[in-house]
Amino acid sequence: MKNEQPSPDSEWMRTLVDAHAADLTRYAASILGDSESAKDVVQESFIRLWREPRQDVADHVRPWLFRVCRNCALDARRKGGRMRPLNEVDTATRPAEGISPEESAEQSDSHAQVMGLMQRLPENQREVVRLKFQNGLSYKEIASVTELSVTNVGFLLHTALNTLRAQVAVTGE
Amino acid sequence: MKISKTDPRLTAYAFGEIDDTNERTEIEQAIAADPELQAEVENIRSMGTLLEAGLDVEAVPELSEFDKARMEQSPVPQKKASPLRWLISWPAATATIAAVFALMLIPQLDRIKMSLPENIMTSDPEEVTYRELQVDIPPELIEGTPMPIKVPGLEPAATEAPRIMVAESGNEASYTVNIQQRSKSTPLPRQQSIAVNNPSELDIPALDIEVKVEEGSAYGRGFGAVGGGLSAVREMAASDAAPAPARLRPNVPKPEPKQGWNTEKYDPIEDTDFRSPLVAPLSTFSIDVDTASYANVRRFLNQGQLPPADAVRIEELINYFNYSDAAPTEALEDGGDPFAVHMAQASAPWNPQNRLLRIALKGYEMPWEDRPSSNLVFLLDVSGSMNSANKLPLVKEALQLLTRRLDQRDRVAIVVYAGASGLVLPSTTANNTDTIEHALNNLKAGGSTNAGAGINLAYKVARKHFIEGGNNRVILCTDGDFNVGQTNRGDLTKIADEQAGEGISLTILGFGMGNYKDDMLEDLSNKGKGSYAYIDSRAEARKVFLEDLASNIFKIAKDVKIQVEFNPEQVQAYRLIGYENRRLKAEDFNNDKKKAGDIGPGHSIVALYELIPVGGEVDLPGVDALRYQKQAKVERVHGEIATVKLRYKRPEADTSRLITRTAQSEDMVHFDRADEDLRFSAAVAAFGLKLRGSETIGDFSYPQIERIATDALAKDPGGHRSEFTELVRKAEKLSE
Repeated sequence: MKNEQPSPDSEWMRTLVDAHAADLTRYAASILGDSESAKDVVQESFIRLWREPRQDVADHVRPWLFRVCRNCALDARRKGGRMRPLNEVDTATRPAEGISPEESAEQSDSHAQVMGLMQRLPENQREVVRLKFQNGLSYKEIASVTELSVTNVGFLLHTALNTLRAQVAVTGE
Repeated sequence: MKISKTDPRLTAYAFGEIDDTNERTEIEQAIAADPELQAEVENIRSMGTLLEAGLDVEAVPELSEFDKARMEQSPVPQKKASPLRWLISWPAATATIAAVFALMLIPQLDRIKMSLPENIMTSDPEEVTYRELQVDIPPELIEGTPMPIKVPGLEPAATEAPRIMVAESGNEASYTVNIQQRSKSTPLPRQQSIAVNNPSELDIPALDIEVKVEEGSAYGRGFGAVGGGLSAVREMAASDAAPAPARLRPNVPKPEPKQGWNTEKYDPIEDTDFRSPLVAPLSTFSIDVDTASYANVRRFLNQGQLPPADAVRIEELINYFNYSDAAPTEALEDGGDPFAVHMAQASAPWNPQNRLLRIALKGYEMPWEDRPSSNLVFLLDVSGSMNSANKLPLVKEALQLLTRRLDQRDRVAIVVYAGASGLVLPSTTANNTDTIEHALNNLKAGGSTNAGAGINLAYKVARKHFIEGGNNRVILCTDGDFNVGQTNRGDLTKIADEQAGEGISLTILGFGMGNYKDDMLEDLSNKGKGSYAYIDSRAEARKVFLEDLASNIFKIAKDVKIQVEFNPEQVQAYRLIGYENRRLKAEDFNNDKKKAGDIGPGHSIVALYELIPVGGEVDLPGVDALRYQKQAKVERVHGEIATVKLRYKRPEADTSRLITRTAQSEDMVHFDRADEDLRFSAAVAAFGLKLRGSETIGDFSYPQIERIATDALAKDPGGHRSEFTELVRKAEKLSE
């Protein structure tokens, strides 16, 4: 009988989990509003990766994982009535980072401020901003993740940045 | 080429996203020619940098080793299209198999059926008869590449691992089973190796699973967070000592559909035994005004589950209720006592030979308008785990209830914590109701928890607006799931302890379930010297914030300690019911540096002792006579059961005052003739003991408890006592 030896695939998988799982979980949580369900979704994404021939995905694993993770998360959100999708309910502020301009008087932290403003963007803009600036994906990769055209991604990012800049200018020092 | 300032390509260019060389060159030239465009590109880039930095601050969810192992693991292998059926010897293999399955298939656990076939295969009478466990796995779960599950930190030494090897075959025949106990000199009790062989001798190993099912260590380290499901597994692993076949079904780990993995945490409680006053004449403890345990127990029972024994803190059950003991009438500023002390005795309902001594403290009922100014900082957990109907929405409602009763003398601030912590409502006077409501309405849950940073910020805000002589308090609302950052229980309690020393108390309101960290919250509130309530419903929110608000957010006395000296002439043995985690050393009683619990206006605090009178039957472990000291001589004081001493400090004082009372033997009455408060608190104590599985009340039954409680409902404002009788009925049904 054959014995246990770490297969190259499981080693590969481990490095992938180490490299991407946390980012994926954060991303899925931004869709689901709940880190526990996000973990389930990320696990599902890795399970799907096992089923994919390695050579087919090896050179673009990160965008591939983001796309699968996004689809799983959207599925879960559609199915799971119990999870309140944070982003759909209300595009207004999210408490941790979300601070309305009136309340920001005492808030000197510009990071938190821009995060707060970001929460008010439409969901599709917020998503591309997140993929670009939090997860470092390129326009092309974002396009493959979100199933939008590259031009469309460029337009969304452009609009989002303009909106944010305008608001920072209004509320800023 | 001319490019407008609003051209999306400018943004793409700023981030190096123009792939076409010609296009890039064109844009470059256009920008070089126009300083306005240059400024625009700069602005876009700096916005990008700001976003990167801002998004970077958002906490990355912490993945435990277990999370990662779960993500790394391959789908369950086997390419066979038909369901795989394993026949495995019972009982030796069952535990192992079940454990393996539980670990392997955590997400799909409910899809695997295990059953005992009706007809047992008969074989040669010489042979051992096996009972068979059939494991049916839906085919769609059986696919993919065979891979060992790796759980970092849990990987067993190769020779010690139980192993299941299944040979794949083209035919559908059932498999015979070999069980080998891999032992050296002594058999290792829970580490079997199981080989499942195909009779057709086709030796193509397809599945190779390694899991360490050694009890204790493995669960302790890697799976600590997985509570519910795995504890069922652990139970199975432990029950391999020839259980009856009938026990198979209930033992199969069955995920609870709604709750998912239960990772609630409770500190163990050790029941106290009877002690002889000759060995331990003094019983010393700190008062406890918490009520969380009662609401939590209620939540379990309403869900159709008996609570875990460690979730039942009897003193919190008893103190949940209001008693009609008289409060001091003289106002505090006129020199009145902050609380009154009452004592009563009756025979114990579960053992009429024994007697109950009830010590009750009742706080001065301060008129609301006389209250001190408050500086309240709400510290709200808005992490993802708070995102359910019984958590954040309840928090909001509760806070609205509270702030409506405050006015311009009081200050309110709101700090939230999740991935990042922030001040969503700077300290503002409580008459700005619109501002406060607005802040509350905008709360949304999301992200993971960093309680540490939040707590620091909350205390900082509280210090900044400190009201001298006022009520300075941080009110933490959480499900206690501290999973990022400064999660060390010791560190958090140290902060709470220090801040309590500086005059800022901590009140804790627990919410939610499934992931509830009672141990941590109880510890924190004890150190932070505030009360700890558990809010499981609107009704409870109303109780905490309307009925008992003053008791919960103000204090009229602090460091309240009780010491009881029993008279060995009357009392052969005694035990304090509850207060297990509030015991103090005898010498702490007079030590004013030693902190203890606070009392709020109108608080009812009750302690029950069960006493075995001299001549009663009890078997106590004694101690040998001392060689270097004379045994203390017993003074013959007739008629006294015990002397009860209390120490407390005024909220602003550093030295304690002493109150002394004596319990007289002749005050004892038969239980049925005792007052309603004594009878009701005895019923609650019995209920708690029963839920804790204590044998100290013998076979005293739930119906008996219910009867006592029903007879002692008294006026029952708020209906809490009637609700209690319902809980007793529920517990009775569940324990059948």
